[in-house]
Amino acid sequence: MILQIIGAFLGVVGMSIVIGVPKKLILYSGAVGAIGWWVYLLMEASYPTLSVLQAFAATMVVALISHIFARLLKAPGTVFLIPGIMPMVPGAGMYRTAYYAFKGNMDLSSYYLSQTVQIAGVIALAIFIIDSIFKIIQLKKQWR
Amino acid sequence: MNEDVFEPESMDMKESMEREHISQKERQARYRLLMDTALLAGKIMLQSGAETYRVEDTICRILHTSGLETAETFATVTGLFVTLADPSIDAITKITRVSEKQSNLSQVYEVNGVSRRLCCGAISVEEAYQELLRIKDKKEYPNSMVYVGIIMTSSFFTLLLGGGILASALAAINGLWIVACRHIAGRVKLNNFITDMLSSFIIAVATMLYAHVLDNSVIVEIIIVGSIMPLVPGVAITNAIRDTLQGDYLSGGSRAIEAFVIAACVAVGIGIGLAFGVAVVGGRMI
Repeated sequence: MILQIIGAFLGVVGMSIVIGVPKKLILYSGAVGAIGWWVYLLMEASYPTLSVLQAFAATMVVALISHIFARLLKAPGTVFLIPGIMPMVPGAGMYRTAYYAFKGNMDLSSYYLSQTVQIAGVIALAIFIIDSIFKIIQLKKQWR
Repeated sequence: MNEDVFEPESMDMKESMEREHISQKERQARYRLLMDTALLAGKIMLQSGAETYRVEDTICRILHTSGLETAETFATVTGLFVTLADPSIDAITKITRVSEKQSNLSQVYEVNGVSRRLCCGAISVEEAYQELLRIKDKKEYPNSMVYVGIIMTSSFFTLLLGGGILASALAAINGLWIVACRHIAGRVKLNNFITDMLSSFIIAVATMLYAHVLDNSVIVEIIIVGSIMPLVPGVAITNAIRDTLQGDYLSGGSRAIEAFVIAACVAVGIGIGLAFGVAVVGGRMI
């Protein structure tokens, strides 16, 4: 598991370079990715069958930390959010959809397609929830 | 009532120019420069992959420093409309088409900083414009560094998915194939979608070959899934979500289509690659 988290950190740092995250923020975005993946692995250990729930919880944490870092470091939250959610993006689901379609097993292919769409959906939902919470906090500050 | 809360703390452009009795022509020229600054800021942000609402928000903030009555903008993924009007001036409207796109979040970050400083009055409009011109041509990482990033992504995402050291080393070689594809595609100006399809095709074939040589069919899936990560359209996916939920359906929809088409290209490339691999090394490996 430690190896996987190290992999997440370095992988997210690599991804950050590809999409051009500013040099001084690159370690932070790597940390966001590593923490997100740690949460994912913890959830996987306790609820092994619910891959949708795992992605949801991990994305919530990633979005939360991204917002906090954005406030602390005065940077747009996307800089941390985009690389941070990359580990949760259902690449395996995409692969299995294509793989079973190629093998002619349409049942499994459509099963994995729907799972991929579900995971993408909960990632969206998690980002949306955290965005909304921070918007409420911001409004509250303005009223005072 | 405390209506004065909404008044900007410093004097805006309109007020200060009225106080200094600046001629109509000069005023128009200054508004024009402000307009160009806002437009350039928006264009850089759109090109480098900012969310639509962030682009619109930045442009509006810059334009509101003028203190004029109407400052409106409408941004989509592929273009930008900005207008600035007031009874005291001739209305200015500009349109920009944004065609080339390259994810570069450091530009979003820097433009954000410039607009922040401009709006709080720390720099003048001229300085902001010069700074934006400098940001426009700046690259945070040289190409070689981006290539290292691609190889890192392929390799370490395989490790992250639980592939172990051997699989991750093989995925690094796959990353090298992606780099080679990108490099050649950049030379011959190949379409991005075709490049992604070609890269994933090569990855699938190469992975089948590794598995054949090592006589180990378990690692095929994990290596392929890890290796295609640099091709996954993360920026498009995230922005599609945020734009749609923000109410920018036009941008959200087009980004979702972009993400979907890239994903489909990668899937098709892998499918063809697997079929090709089966034809070369036999069906034992999948």
